Amino acid sequence: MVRLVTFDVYMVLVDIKGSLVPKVTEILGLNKLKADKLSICGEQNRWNARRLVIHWVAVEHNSPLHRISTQLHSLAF
Amino acid sequence: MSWDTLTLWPEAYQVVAEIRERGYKTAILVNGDSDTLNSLAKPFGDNMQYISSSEMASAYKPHPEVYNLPEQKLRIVKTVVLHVAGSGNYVIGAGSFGIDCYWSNRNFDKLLDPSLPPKNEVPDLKGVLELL
Repeated sequence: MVRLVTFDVYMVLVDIKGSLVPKVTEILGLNKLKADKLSICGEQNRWNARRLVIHWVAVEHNSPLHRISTQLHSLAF
Repeated sequence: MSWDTLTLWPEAYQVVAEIRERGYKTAILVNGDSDTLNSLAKPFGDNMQYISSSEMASAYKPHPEVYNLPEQKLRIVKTVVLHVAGSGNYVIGAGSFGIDCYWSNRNFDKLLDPSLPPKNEVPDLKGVLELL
């Protein structure tokens, strides 16, 4: 008989992709096609969300690392 | 901060609220720091009663010490815990520790170790209530 229900948060309770993609798109100036492509790439790799966002920017957006750092700071991670 | 203001899945609030209405205890059991998790738990108000984080266990899921937190901190034995997992790794972690698990498998992932299956696997949270 169950007494306690425990929850993962990321993926279970909160919509990470739906929450962060618009912000990343806006801040980095990505167009919708690019944002969708990066989102699909992230899902296929099944990485955790913080790494996922960095992956979007670093690999797919092909940004230099120093620029990424500045941009992520804007997101206040 | 962006990370602290993530949007809930549409059914999340109602499912957690109904679990509480039925008299079950609720807790977050997740990798993360307490400050971030407190922020993420806020939208649930009193319906999310406890937060158990990897910070408390000094280990990260799927390490068994994290799944042991309910017993360690709340004195609730693992045989009466149902864990709602969001990824296959955490399903396996809960199963190997001996906790029943529900998998909210929104990406339709495959379980790497089929010998530790969840009790139910649904692409959202609505099936949790059927297990209670």
